[in-house]
Amino acid sequence: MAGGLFSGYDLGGFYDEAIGPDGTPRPGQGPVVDWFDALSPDDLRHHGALRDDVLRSRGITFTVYGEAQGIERTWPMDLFPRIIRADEWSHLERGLAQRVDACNRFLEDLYVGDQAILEDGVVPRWLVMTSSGFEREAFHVSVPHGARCLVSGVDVVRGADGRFLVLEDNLRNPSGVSYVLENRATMARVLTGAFDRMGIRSVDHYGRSLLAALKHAAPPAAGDDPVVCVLTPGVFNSAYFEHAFLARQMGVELVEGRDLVVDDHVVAMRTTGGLRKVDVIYRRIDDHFLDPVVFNPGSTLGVPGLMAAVRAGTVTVANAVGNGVADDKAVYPYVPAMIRYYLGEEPLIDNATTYVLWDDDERAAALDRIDELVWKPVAESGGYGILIGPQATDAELAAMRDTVEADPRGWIAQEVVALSRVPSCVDGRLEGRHVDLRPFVLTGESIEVIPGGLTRVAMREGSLIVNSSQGGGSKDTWVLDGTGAADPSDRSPSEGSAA
Amino acid sequence: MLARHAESLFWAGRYVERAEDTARILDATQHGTIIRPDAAVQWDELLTVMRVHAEYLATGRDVTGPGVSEFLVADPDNPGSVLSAVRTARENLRSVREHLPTEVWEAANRFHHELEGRDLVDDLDGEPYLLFQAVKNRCQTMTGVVEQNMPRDDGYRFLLIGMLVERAVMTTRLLSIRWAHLSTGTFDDALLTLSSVSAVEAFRRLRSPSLEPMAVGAFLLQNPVFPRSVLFCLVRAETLLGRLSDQPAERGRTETVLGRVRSNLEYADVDHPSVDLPGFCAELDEGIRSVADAMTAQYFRNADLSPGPLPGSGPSPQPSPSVPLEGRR
Repeated sequence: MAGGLFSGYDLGGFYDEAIGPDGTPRPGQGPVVDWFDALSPDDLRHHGALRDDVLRSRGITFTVYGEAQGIERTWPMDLFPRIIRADEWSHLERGLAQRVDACNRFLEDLYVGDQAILEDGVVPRWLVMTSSGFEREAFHVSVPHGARCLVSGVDVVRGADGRFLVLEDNLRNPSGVSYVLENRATMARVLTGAFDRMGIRSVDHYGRSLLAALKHAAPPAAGDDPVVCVLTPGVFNSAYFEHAFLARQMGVELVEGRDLVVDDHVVAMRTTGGLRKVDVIYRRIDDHFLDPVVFNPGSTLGVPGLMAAVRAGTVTVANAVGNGVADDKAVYPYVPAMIRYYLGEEPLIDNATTYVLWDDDERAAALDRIDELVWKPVAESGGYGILIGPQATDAELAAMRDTVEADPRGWIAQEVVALSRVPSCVDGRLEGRHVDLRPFVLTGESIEVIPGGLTRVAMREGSLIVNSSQGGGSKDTWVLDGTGAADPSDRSPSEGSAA
Repeated sequence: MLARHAESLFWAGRYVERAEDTARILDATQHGTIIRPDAAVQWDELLTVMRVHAEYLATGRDVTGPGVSEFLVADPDNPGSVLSAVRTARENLRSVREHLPTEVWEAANRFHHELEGRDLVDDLDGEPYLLFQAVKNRCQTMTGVVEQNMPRDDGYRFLLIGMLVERAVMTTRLLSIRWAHLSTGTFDDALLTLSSVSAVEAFRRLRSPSLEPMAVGAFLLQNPVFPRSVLFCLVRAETLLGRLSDQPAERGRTETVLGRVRSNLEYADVDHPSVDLPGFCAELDEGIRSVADAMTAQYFRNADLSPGPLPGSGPSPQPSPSVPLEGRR
């Protein structure tokens, strides 16, 4: 760092992913830090303009609900990449696969097994039975190979001590993977020079891996070449871009509910040449909208009769119906116990410290520190309904106290994690901004973790909210393969990488 | 391919072609009002060609060059305006994005953003020629990108058929409105009509170096090699239709209807003095629209595709992006 764009860079007392506490780049980060440091503010703006042009012309957008004008926005991507070393990644990869493996087994146990984990009292039966994600329609419905969490998007953060922690597992309909691929494609066009000799692992095979996993989950009767489609709620859904992207990456049809019909427990799509049977549906519609016959009768997004076809085993729906129970934030504290129970292993990645509020003692202790903790509703995802104690008003805290007292099963409290930061481009300079990470995990013939994932960044100074609907941005995430010509210290573990 | 996708591509094709044709006709009309004295009549006729006469008057504007141009180019409430047509074409393409090569989507997207970002009224005021040129260029870029990048599958065929149908309709209407001038007319009238479909050079070379007005009708209707003649469009559409890979076992209704319309046109003696050309064009217009209807019935909304009434099957969750183009608002 020669005192260019990084001059005056302030760590702010947080764990910085790129710069160590002594002010020098962490192992593996040197080349990129130097590359950016050598730029002028004008260079940075130039690259920024080029990035905007690439994103806009490629039509990489997301939709923000509740905005009358311009609901379709260009995807925000910060130029400075988030870099994960090979040894850090291998630890994360094993920890994530372990988690998803345990969650698959837990769901199998609940829906088609003996519910052994409940019988043995490892997870309280009442807790599972009162979960809004526990779906009676999934009862005794088997899933080929037990691949219930076919796609998971586990949210991981790094705290002040440099350890990775899991915040949520996102086993229902995690989105964001299209942006992982598009961020990479955009970076490759805009920052060509920064990629030199880094040894960055590719993410381009995601579509192929996803298709293989979906075909693997087809009903056995479907034969060697099952017909796969992606089911979207339609062009007005916030993740439509991604649905179309994935269908294109896999070369399969993108269907809406109205394109599908069920006849005699067989699902078919309407084509210009007539009806064509479908074997696997990668659905991006929530459980309750899938089939108006058994779920929400007012919904027109789904396919009448679909669940009967799933039950008859003529079609696979992925992710499986009923996964929400394992996504329930009041069940999440038991995932480490599931790992020990089903796999006989110690969890490689810890949960964030969580308080279960249905327990009277934990609730009382948590409410005593209401202004220090983060409060989350158990059934939501995507950051909805969260209250961050230290940033809340007295009125908000009082309301939260009442809410929790009235419905202790419906909420959890967590310690605030001082999210790690990554240098980010702000007004022609680099400043630290908080990030999280959503790696994507596929359950196919084996469990596969796509190198990296979506790094979301809170672009407002000091903010911990990384959701794109709330001013968050994203970063390309580089997982190094360990062959980079960076520097020899690359292969030495830095502090805290092994949790 | 999915019936809904086929329909979206068909309409995307129609809207792109509509945008280009509108720019072309406006460009020629703008020029025509300079060389001929009856400007008001020409703008009025243009509204009739575009089938938006009543809609325009309903906006309370007078029939003037700036008013009509703005309505046909920049009015977001006019579904057939260039601005709306490009937006609708993009929306249709967006819903079939996974069928499109990235380059095709990028071209449509760039075009849409460019129009949204421009002050179109200001452009019409200042250098309308440059605006029309830009619109035509963008449309042709799209067509070119389609030709260069799209696999010759059914998606390509439906998109192209949409363009050809729209082009055939526009040429037919233009001729029916302008015939009154041509049949009694001069060199200028021929020039104006031909330039509205970029046919001046082709006409000169293939038909009449002196731009004989009376010969314009047969040329625009029946010339077999000029790509904007109605016959050319219909023959091409027929070929594409015959190559659709998802075909019903027996000859489809669309093919029958199109074949009839095409042969009626091909063998008509439109040069004969007794022929009422505007009447002929009106029938042809009707015929082409019946082809579009037959396509909808056969490929897009085929009743055979639903195995019977199902519980809870309500209306579609979103308005179909395929707003028909027949000047409806």
